[in-house]
Amino acid sequence: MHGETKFLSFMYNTPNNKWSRKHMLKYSFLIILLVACSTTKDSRKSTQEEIQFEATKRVFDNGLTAIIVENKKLPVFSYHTFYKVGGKFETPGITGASHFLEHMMFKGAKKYKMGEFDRLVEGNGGSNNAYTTNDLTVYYEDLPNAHLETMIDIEADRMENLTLDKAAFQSEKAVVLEERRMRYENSDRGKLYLSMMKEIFKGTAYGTSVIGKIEDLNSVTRDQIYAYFKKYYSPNNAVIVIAGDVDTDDTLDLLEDKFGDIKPFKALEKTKSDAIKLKGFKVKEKFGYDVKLKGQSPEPMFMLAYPSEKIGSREGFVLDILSSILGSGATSYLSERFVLGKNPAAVSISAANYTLQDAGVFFVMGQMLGKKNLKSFKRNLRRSVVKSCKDAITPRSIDKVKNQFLVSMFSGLDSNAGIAKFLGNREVYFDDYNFYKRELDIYQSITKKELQSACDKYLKPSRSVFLSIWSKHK
Amino acid sequence: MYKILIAIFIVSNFAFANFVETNVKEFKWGELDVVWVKDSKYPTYDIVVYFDDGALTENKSNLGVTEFMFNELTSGTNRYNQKQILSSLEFYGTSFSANVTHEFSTYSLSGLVKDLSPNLKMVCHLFNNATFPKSELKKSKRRAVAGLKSLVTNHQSLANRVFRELSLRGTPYSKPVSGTIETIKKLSSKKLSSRLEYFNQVKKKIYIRGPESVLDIKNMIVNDCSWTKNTGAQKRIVKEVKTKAIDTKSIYLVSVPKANQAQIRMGKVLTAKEATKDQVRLSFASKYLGGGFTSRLMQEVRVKKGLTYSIGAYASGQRNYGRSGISTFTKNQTLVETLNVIKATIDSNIKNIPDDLFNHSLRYIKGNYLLGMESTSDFMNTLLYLDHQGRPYSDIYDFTEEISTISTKSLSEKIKEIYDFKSQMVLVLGSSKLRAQLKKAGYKVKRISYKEFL
Repeated sequence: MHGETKFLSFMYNTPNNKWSRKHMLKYSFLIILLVACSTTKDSRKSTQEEIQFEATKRVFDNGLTAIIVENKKLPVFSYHTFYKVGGKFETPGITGASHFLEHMMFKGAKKYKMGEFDRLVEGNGGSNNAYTTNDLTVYYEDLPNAHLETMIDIEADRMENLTLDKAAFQSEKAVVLEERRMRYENSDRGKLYLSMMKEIFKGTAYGTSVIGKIEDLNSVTRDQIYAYFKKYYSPNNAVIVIAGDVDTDDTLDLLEDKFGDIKPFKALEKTKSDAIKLKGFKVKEKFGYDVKLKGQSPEPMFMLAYPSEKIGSREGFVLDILSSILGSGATSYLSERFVLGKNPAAVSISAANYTLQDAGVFFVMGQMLGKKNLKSFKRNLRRSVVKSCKDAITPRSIDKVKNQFLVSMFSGLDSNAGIAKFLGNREVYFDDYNFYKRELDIYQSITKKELQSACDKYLKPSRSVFLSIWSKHK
Repeated sequence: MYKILIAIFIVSNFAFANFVETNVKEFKWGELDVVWVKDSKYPTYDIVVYFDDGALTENKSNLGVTEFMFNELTSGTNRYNQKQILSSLEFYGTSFSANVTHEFSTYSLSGLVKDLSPNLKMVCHLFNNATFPKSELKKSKRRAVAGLKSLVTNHQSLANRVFRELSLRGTPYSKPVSGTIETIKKLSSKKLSSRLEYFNQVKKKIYIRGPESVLDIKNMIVNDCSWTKNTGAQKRIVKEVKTKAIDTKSIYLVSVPKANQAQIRMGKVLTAKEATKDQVRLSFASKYLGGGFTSRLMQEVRVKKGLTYSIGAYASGQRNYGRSGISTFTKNQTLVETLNVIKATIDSNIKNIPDDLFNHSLRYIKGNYLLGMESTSDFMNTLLYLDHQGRPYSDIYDFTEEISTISTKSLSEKIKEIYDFKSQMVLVLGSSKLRAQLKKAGYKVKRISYKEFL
């Protein structure tokens, strides 16, 4: 993450913040909410009407996609650029390249030199930041609407003419390494998360960390990063979403004027396919082992992870619901058993289904209470998950999950940035910012039987890895 | 609504009056003060109950009792057990939480308007009938103690906790509102019940955000909740917080195992006058130094030197005290260099603030102030905070005008007053090996164990 105070970099990959996995997986969930409280078609309709967007989409000749959403409530706008590049495209030796570029994109281009980006955004009363995931890199700015043209000009400049200044390149390496120390090396939770992703996606394109290996960060050269930039930061690999007090036609004209002449990267699809081909996304089916990590935590922190499904697949949606039934809220199935029950064994426990573009991982995570035996805890947890397939999935638990997400959806759409993110993610993952309307039907049609069947199929002990980090591990 | 708000920023008190008249309504429901911020964007509501007391009135042996009391309201009543209470609230997707500071506390509830009635009914029932069953309390205490012990794996939080207590020592604000391992272990159902009884009599005010239909809760608030009874019966007596001499030649070193990064905290306590009477200049000083990517510290420490990923400065106050400080981290090898760069940056801006940087920062602060209130919930919380400090709502709209009157000289003076390196208490949390590095650089090092602060 480029910014200073919001420690949310590559947000879907950071286990320590609310936005991380939860938000990602709940993107596909948001519309569940629409069905959630609805028992009749009429009531669903009225909820749908609550979230109508005045959105317009245009794909320019060079492949750039733009979505404009008019929201006149405040004379400000939020500008999001989704580049369809993330950790999965990084080849050996350049792990962390997408995230490193996320930092370098603020370090000057041909027209707007070093420092100009931040000076213009903040100097006009705005703010900006960015995050990188395994699939995407997203840059965003919030500004008063008088500065829309300047913002479009700056974004076009850095897409076409990023300079990658040599001195800044070296200095920013140190910053990224500091970020890595903060998020992972000095955090047991961070170490556990990195290790979980590495185990589940071992040998696949998702098997490396988004922030990159230390040795790669130290050795990567400016030329390597520049070559990576030229491949992936092209108009045909980007989606721009602008939400706020703007005029749609004027904004599209401005975008065409500033971005229209930027050439697409014609070999984009082949380049992507070649990068992915090296490892692919095929996750192994057999796990059933444990990983012990040496940490500082006085009691074990744990993750129980299972390979799941990619975003957009029907079973992916089913597993989204299942994860919330199992581990979202104090009265979730696992919390009632391990935290609030008569003989509690954990300080906290939660579950999530992290759906990536090409694969997914379902996990349970938490921290054990003191004076509990790790071995028997692990056994009980695996058994409880199996048992949940029969006991946890009830009409009430399904309705509860839907209600919870309805509330969170509305709170997510309370700002221009929230709206831009909501629509941009759908455009990127489904080529359709309106996909939420189909999601609604999918979620509505998911049955208790499907949930039980997915639970039986995906949450088998033999498909799981149990990871723990503890000061007593060697 | 916000178009009007913008207009208010730009134009006049007349527009402010118009805005308040249209969108912010104040009522008396019985003895209870109510503020309603109209917001019909979505069918959702926020309700925040403000209590004019926090952890300050806790006995030394009961530290944490207030926060525990609020958090344990859902653990059982004379009619419902914990599972029934939580199931009822969570089923509707309702969010409920307490926030306890030293001076005041809030209990917040949000969800869908259509579910407001059953949600609020349950919450009122909790405030009237919570029994804090021993069995549930025992489990909660155990979890809280485990959580405190595991702070050693979260260096940022641990550094914040230790620094707060150290820098506020000798004032009533030094102890953490969440209590300590020792005091949490001593909490009992009786103590929590007694605390609830006290809070049911403390002066309160309710803030409501949502469409007009949310006002239908009036009867429930008046008839079913205990909040309209005896409001204002209690009055805290708070001694004025005085700043004390700080041993600025020493650095406190809190060692944690296996750290390859040092957390740095520095700052000072502000008196009530410093914290509340000159807030706009205080805010300008902190944001100029360490707010945003183009702030002075961010530019010098991160952008130019690559010494950290993040650095920020803050300065804020409650009603009777405040705190200012700087927070960052760096790898072990560059600890002293980072301290030196921070010091040099502060010194240079005490000496002189260039006009272009000053004007840039001014524009940034004005714009961000506006964007920070894009959410109506945030706007409502600002009103609550102003009420707590006894400041008029017009302060929001006067901000732009007032900040524009500040000169570079005046800003430099404020930076000297608040951030002069010589007046800062400095804490480093990290490897014990840092001691040698600090000593070599001429600092006197006082080693302390983090365990004393849990």
